[in-house]
Amino acid sequence: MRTTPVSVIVGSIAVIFSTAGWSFWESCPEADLSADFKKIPIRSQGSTPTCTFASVAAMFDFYRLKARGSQYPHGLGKDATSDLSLYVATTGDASPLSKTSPAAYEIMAKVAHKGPNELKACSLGDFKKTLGILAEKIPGSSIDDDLQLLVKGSEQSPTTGDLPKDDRCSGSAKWNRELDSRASLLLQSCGPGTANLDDIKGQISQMLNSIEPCSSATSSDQVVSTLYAAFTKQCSEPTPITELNPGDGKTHTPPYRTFKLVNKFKGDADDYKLDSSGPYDALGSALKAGNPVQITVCQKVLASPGAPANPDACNDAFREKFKQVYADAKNSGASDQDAMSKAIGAGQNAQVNAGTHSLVVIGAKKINGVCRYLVRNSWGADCAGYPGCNAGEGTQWIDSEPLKKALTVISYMIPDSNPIPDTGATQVN
Amino acid sequence: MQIVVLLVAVFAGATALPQALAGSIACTKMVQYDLPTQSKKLDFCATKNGVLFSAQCAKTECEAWRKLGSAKKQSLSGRQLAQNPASVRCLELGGKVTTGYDEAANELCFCFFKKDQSAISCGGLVR
Repeated sequence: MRTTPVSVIVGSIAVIFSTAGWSFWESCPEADLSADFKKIPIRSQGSTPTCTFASVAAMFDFYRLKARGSQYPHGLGKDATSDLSLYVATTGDASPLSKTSPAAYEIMAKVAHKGPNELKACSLGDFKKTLGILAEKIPGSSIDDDLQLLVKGSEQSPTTGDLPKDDRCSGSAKWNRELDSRASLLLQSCGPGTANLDDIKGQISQMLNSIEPCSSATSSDQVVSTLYAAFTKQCSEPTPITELNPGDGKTHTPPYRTFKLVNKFKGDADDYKLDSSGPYDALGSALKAGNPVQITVCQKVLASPGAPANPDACNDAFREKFKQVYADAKNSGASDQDAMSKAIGAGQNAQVNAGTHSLVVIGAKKINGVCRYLVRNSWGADCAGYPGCNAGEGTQWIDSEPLKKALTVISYMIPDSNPIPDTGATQVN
Repeated sequence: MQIVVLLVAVFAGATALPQALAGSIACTKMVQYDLPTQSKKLDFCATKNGVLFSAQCAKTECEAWRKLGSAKKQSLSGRQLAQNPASVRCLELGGKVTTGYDEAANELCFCFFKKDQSAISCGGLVR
């Protein structure tokens, strides 16, 4: 009888590793929440940067279905949580001219603080129709997205220096810089060659005047506040509870806690990088326990038509900027600590500018030995024509390796009645 | 062998060409979307690859159909990356982005062209 030499066994193992890779042994949090998500309307964020709100709205709706499934046998339909209402309920509350979107976990925590009934009231508001009606006040426009950009523009506000005194009624030169920024966004949305900034400002002035005449001498800020009041009116006038809650006394959304985990910086000034292993592992644990998970990722983790995925794009942008700013700071005599702090801040901005996107992970399974995650996007039922779309469902698969590289933050919500999975994530509320 | 391949290619081209020239679109089915900003429901023609065109494009050459020919590789940057990339393409082509709702309230991005008010589902512009 012949014995198999050790070298052959070792060689065979090496071949298996080289062909199948570590993915063969990789654990995969087998989960499938897609059946419930098929009952939740697919979002299309259009030309507005509202992916975070769309993701959070879908997660609220998942738990609404779970808590009150028998009431929605065929899905939530038009009763689904409005992403725009979430925007108003969180960002819009703080300041009508708020510029930056909160993180997903901040939205969840804030809505939890406000209470489920307020969410219910907001969720019923058909904000898009309201916006559409208001948009008609802009001459030549019949769509809502321009107006959404006007009010929801995500441009950063100037953080230093005094804002010019606003007076929209006495000439465009004195326009509030915030409205200038929004006018620029509108210009972008009109497409090249179809309008100029002065035209856009004129249109906004006309719209604002039709709502708040110049004779009342109100500022643009106040007028925009008026617009917000119109949007939020439905939140302050709750829809009769019987519409969604026929007398059984249950709340619309179960009380819940919010959790988050952000990636960490590792290395030194020569090789500083982001480590996503914490959020990635937590994602698996939360998902396996039956919870959908919101993820913030580098948008280029998704292959676009004609171009392969590039999950490293955001981290590469971070590292390049980090190195440059760190070197500049050191050359100008800054301490290590100060240089590091400046470089990290600049790197994070570069990372965001390279394009981050919010998605909801609703499943995972091994396909051909590779762990793949099913994500629900907010680009409509056709995933904006991107490859790999489960057409009609607005979902796509992402392999584990690129996902690990592209992941920045995860967040999820756990109803109080559910066990809390051990993921290492931090509780926000 | 090469001749056979060539003949097949010519035959395929001959069958596809008249359709492209006429600008007509082969509908696999008609679907309806609610467009709140236009206060009405509109019929759309669904093609076999899932792209939707406004019903008029099934009858005559329309602007939405013509715009397909101007599609190019998309390069997004900065703020554009936070939007639906197909809506960005729509705006680049001079269209207007509008959200449509099907019966289950699923949302879909439509790109409307002012010239003849024809529309295409935004995803069709980036395939």
